[in-house]
Amino acid sequence: MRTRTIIALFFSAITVLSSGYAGDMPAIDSLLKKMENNISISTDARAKVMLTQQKPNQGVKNFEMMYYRRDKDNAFLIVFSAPEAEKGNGYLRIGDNFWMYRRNTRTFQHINRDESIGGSDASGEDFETRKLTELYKPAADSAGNEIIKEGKLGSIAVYRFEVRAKVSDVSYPYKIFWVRTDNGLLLKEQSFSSSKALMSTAYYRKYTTVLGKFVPVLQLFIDEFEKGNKTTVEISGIVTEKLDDRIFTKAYLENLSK
Amino acid sequence: MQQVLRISYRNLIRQKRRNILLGIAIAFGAMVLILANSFSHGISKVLFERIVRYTSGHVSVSYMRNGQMMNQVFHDDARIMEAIRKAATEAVRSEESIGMFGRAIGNGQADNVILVGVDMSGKLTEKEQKEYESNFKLLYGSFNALKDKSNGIPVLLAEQKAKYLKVKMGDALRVRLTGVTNQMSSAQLVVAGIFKPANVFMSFPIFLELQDIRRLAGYGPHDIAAIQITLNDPQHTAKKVADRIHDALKPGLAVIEGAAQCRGERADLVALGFRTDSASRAFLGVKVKLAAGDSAKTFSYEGVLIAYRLAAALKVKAGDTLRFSWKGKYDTAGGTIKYVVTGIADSGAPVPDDVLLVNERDFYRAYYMSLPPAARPEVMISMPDSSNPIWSVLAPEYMLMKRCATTQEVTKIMREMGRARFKGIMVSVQSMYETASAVLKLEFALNLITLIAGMVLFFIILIGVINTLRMTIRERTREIGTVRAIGMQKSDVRLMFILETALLALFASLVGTGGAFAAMRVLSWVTIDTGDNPLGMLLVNSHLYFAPTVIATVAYNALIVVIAIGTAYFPARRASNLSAANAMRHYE
Repeated sequence: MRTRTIIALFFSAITVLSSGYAGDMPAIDSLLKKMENNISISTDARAKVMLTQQKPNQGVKNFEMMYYRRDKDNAFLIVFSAPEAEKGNGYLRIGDNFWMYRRNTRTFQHINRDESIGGSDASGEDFETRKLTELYKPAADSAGNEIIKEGKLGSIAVYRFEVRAKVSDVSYPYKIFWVRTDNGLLLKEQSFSSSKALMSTAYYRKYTTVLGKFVPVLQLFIDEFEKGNKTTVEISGIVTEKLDDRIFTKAYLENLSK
Repeated sequence: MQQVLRISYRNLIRQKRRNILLGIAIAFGAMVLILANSFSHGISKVLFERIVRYTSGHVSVSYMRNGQMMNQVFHDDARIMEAIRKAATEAVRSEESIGMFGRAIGNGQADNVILVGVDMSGKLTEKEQKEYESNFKLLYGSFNALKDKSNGIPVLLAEQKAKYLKVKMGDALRVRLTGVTNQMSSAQLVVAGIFKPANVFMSFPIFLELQDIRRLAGYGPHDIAAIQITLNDPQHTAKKVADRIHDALKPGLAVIEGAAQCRGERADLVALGFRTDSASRAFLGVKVKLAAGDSAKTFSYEGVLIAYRLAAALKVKAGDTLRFSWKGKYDTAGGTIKYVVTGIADSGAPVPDDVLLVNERDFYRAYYMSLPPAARPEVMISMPDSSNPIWSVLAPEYMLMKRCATTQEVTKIMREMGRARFKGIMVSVQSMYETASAVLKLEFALNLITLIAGMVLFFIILIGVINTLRMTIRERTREIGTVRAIGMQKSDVRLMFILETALLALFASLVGTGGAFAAMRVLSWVTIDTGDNPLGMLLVNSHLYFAPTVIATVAYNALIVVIAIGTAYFPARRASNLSAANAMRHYE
């Protein structure tokens, strides 16, 4: 479950955040549209992902995995390479089918694509590419004005704007984004529960460009509910060459785990 | 017969010491049998009456949205309650049952919790009040404190949970949970009562008022959670009531009547959903030819197919976005959604003229966003029926799971449903006999073990009976010869010995029954602290629970007497077959 949560965080990051934008103080909708326009990387890709999880009284745990993505059908494969206990475990999604593979039992467990995986934080939306504008709309103040302002995040000029969910099936009904004013990169995101309690904060600390798109390669997720829980996600070795179709098969995942 | 009975009784008390010893052995066997049976029945009763009943009711109506078991929500409360009202006339109580998993933080300590709603709105019967009191033995606070919202959302929790979370009366407890729409929710709760759990299952949940958990979990005003139905005579009615509710909940075709706008044109239409499992998509691809659009995309998870004439009326082309609006059943504002048309059906395709066929996922998103009212009869006439080739792949209002016979079958079907990736709501109606058939099996297994152990014990005891009888016959051989010589019939001699044994067995088993009841009383007094040990589920308020039944008690007594008679028959027959002369000559 812990691993799945981490994967969910990772997917939240790569799904929502590889955005680029430049312009003056914009309307929130146009900001969201521009963000989502830059979300999808329309190419096959593979990358190495490292997650460092810190929990109070539990020390630090490091996870390492390989991520493969096929563009034509948005299929993906994840295989853990560390720690030893997770090595060989993996996830494979093709179309509407989503499997979890456990090396110890050498079994595939089918997971519903829309299912909250194992009851963890990883919900369906983490694995889907639903558009930001379909999910969120600008939040307005009592006068009906969009809540957006220009400010600084550290020394960087940013737009800080608030959005609220349009639909009920999103994890967080309220969010605040901080995006750079110069290139529109998202630097910080706060997620709130339905009672507007701050639940998590995400920092996107380093980006790289892949085929003209931005990919956050260093991210920090802080659990604001249970203080002391935080996870760092590092993405490296991004390769965008076409991947062999045999990678996205159960047999390949099984063989990798041998 | 009366004379023989008198002789048998006299013979029985003539050999007091021997018969008392033998009687004690039989009584002990009877006591063990009845005690063990009462204990296993007690376990079953505890599981059924105190655990299964509270967790799933005598009959339950539960749901699964998007294949997620924790999404226990149905968006039309009236539909469910009407079916229950009509079909469950024997119901004493029908109430919502909500249990949500979450994370709670007390004073510097966090733990996983289950938040359980308690319905405080209705009046409790005296029996229910007593049950609540025995389940919630409050050490601090009161049960009714759940109604007092002056300091926040009040909760009751077990002393073990309070200790782990380091909270006391009046302390705040923060919780985070994922609601029924998968939306994250958080709240601050206030400890309004700490209780001593009646069994191990009661030590996990945190109890709060039903309305509070409904709000926290994101239930809308017309949403309804799983329903638990309590019946007067569940043993006889539970399955029948479940069957009737199941029949009353047969779903129809999911239909949204509304209007669409595109390219400045407007047209009334009917939106239907199509199943997106591989078989359904392939089937649809074969049956429906396209006039325009990409068939791979149209018959995919994201496909939206429009009827030929409707497309012409709206001047829609493949790839266009249309805006679809409809009125809600409960929500007067209704709903609006945008669909990108991926294909236009050929004029000869089996799709009605005014239909928009939407992939299951996007269709149900709209359907549940604002539940539409039932379609008008004139609209339903033109909708595909079972004679239409595409009928089998159209999305129903919800999927009604077939009735199951056992817990294993329920689990298997749930797993299959999860795999089917149905995007709507699945409804399941079960009686406690299906949800807890494992409990019945457990009781059966315990009874079987008891019976086998008892029989082994009796086998040993009955060897004693046979031996005693043989000794008696041997000692009384000349007496047998005498009574035969003065005219007693063979059958009477046989009956005399059989009755002697039967009387002994009857008296002994009655004494054993008395002993069993006395032992039950004594054992019930003993307090057993099991802590968090799961074996604690076998206890009620830390005491063993016995549930003797009249039928089982009488049956065991009868069984003992019958076995004793059976055992005595052959020695008695042998005695009766002795010739009077030989018997009288017998000398040792």
